[in-house]
Amino acid sequence: MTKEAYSLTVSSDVANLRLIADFITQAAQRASLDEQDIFAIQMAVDEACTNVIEHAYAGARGDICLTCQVKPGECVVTIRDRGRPFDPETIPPPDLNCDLEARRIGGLGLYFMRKLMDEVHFSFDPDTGNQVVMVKRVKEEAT
Amino acid sequence: MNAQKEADKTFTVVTVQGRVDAVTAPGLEAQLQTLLAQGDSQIVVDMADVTYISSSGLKVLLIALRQARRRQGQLVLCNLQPKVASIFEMVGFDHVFPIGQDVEAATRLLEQPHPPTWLSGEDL
Repeated sequence: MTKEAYSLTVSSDVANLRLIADFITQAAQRASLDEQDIFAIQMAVDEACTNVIEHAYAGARGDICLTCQVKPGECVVTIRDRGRPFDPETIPPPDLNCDLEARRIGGLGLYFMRKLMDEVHFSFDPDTGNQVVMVKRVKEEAT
Repeated sequence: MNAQKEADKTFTVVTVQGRVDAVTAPGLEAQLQTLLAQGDSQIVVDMADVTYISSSGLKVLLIALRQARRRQGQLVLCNLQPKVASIFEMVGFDHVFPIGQDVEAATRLLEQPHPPTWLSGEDL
């Protein structure tokens, strides 16, 4: 299995979400990940980048830097931005059991990230900004 | 996406295509809100050609469902592709939205009281 790392930097615009999706899909396909894993990783990255655009930058312009590396048994995606500091602890999880009127709209993106990936790690550094590292355990390529 | 209401029908079928994400969800929202504002609160959303939906799209559908119900109407989904269906299941939205296997089943669900259920055209 390849150990190559792929990188992409885009501006914080929803118009770039398709570019990001294609980048992740192509990197995962080059590493021969299966379709289910590719879909999960692509969706988790889409949700993470949407959050960066809508909340970290909230209309301001900035860069989103992505790296995707497939190692034996796992795919690691790192997303960095220089938007407002993000603390995931401030986002309550969605209540998936309440009725229609009581359902909260927010928090679904973060929920999907944690549901689709095996590990999600958030950090903030005053010099380098926000970083989220997402890890997906993947099947080894057949030899 | 497009919305079609046949002359002899009391409901509108909204056909959505491709990805429903932060890019395209606002367009879907605008279309659904326009329908609701003009009094069309019986809506079938045909998802046969939807390949992906993110939380942005789910939010738009949830808000439209609420508003339809508040107007004594209903919003039913149909023709969910397996991957899209799994997204709904991940957050329990398959228990919130009425979902039909096809448009015919979905139109019958429009007339049914809650809770939602899976129905195929052959079951009815």
